[in-house]
Amino acid sequence: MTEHEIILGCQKGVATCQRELVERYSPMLMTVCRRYARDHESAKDVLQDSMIKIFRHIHKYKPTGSFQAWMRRICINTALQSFDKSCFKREISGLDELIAQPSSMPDVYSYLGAEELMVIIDQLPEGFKQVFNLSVIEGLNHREISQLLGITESTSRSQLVRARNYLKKMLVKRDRIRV
Amino acid sequence: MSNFEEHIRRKLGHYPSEVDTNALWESIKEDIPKEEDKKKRVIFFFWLFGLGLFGGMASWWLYQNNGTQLANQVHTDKEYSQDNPQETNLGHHVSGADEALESFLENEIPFSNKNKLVSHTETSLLNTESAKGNWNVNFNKDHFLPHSTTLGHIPTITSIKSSEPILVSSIPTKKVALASLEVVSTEKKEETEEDMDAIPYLLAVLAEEKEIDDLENELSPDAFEEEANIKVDNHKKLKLQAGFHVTYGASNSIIYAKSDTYDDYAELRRNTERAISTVELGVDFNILFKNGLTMRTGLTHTRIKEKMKYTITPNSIPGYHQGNNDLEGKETSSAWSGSSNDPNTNSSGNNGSPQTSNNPIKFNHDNLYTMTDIPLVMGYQQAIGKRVGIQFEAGTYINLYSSASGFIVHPNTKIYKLDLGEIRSHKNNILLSTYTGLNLNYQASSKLALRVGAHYRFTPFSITGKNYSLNQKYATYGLHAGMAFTIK
Repeated sequence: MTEHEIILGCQKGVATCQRELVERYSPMLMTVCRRYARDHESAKDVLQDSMIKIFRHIHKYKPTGSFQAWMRRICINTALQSFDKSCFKREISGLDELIAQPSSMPDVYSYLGAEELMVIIDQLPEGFKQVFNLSVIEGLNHREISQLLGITESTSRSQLVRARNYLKKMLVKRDRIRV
Repeated sequence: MSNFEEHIRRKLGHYPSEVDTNALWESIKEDIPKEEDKKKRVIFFFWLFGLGLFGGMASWWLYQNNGTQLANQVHTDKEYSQDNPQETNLGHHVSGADEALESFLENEIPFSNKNKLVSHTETSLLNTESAKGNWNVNFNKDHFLPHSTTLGHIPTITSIKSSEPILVSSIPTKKVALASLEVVSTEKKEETEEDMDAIPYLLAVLAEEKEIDDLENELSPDAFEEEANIKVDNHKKLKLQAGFHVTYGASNSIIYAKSDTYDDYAELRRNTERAISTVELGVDFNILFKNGLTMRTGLTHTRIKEKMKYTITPNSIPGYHQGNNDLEGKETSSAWSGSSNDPNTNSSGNNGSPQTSNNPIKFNHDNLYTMTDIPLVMGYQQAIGKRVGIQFEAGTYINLYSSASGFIVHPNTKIYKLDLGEIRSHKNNILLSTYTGLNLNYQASSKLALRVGAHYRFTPFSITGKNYSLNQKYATYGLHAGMAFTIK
């Protein structure tokens, strides 16, 4: 069953197509949910809510864009709905020393696998993690991030810098390599 | 973006995590809209649309039917008149149907806009082509004259029958009545409000067994406008009135001692023979709301006259010591007079010597209290007739200033002048009074309203100052009358 057939079937409410969509895309969407949710259980809840939203709104989907990107966006939006924006203020305090660090990321960590990267990113403070995910993985610019998270663009920029420095600190702590 | 971040993006962009898809499917499948649900929704909206369409068409048909009935009704009236040429009670001999009707319409029936009767020459609705169409005609019973109470509220023209006194065709019968037709265009909704106002409506104003002169007077535009405004509650949103009132009544003062020491004296004062009368003059500003609520403010000046008749035996007064009292002093000479042997003696024109014995002393004198207040009174008026309304009022009088002249007798027989001075036996401000009243309002004309009523006013704060041993509070009650002119 092609993606197009799945979409058409889901738009008509055909159960087999809906089941196929779940089978095929939920692992990829789970990764998205894991990156934005606080923990694994929350990620499962976000995925469940996201899937229901996808099925309810699939008739609005226009095949002009990527279907997977459309679903990913729903997952992100669902995850961010329960996102506590006050974390941006909380995380600023105590982490100022990180800002002074250079933000360039060494390329020598490219050996790290996906699961290891997931674990590392998951250790980022909540606000850093969201901005880092949206910027680095989803490829959104700061304007889009600010609109999505309800923060200013400057906050988004500073959060990204802090996230990169924090990430670097963590990688150094892993002591795999001296920078 | 560094290569490391590009690496992260590449690795995690489409990385599949482990998911129990069966459990996920089981948990969400009940919440996913099914094909059948969609069909049901479509069917529901289909029926809803059909129902709406049917309702709309039915409304349109009924609406059209009403308009046709109106046109038919008008023509029926004409035919009826045509066949019954008779002398009308308006003094016109009608020889032909159209002629009679047209004559009546043009010369006898005034046409008006909304509430206002403007002129006889205004275009007759029934004489114009505009009457033949989809007009929705409603009766407005607010425009009935007082002796027309038989019609009640008739919402649409469809309920009219030829026997109803509303009909123009009833002219020849000499059984006449009053009615108005308010015409509202249902086809010209885009018209401005001014346009709508310009649409005339018929006032078939006739009267049963009325003299022609009276009838003609009532039919005149001025008379009708006066009549329309004469109702006691005839105002759209609110009515502003300015006026004045006069009050005359009695009063009662509540006297008690500020401490137990003077209880006997308080009792003595309570038993003092006296008569208290009250006169009040006031300027009023009234606001009458359409829902019956009223507000009144303004300025009032109240004079309370206290005629005192004392009989005092000096030694019977607690704290009195002979030879140490002002009853024997010079300052009392203008007030004290008479002797124990002459109970009728009073102070008038007699400045006799004060008594020095223990014999009872009799004397009369007047105290005068004044109060200037701002009334803040809320009320409710219920029309009990066309011109008459009954009104209940309650509120407060804010005291601006009060004064007193005269004197009062202290237990030690020392005389205190009431006038404000060093002793300050009287307070110059008594804060406020409470007021309740019941009025009967009569709308004498479109502008003039008369008011009579009864009231009770109580001043809960003592009029006496700190230096006086008794509390004295006044309650005034009486009748009042006033008039008010509508200013808006």
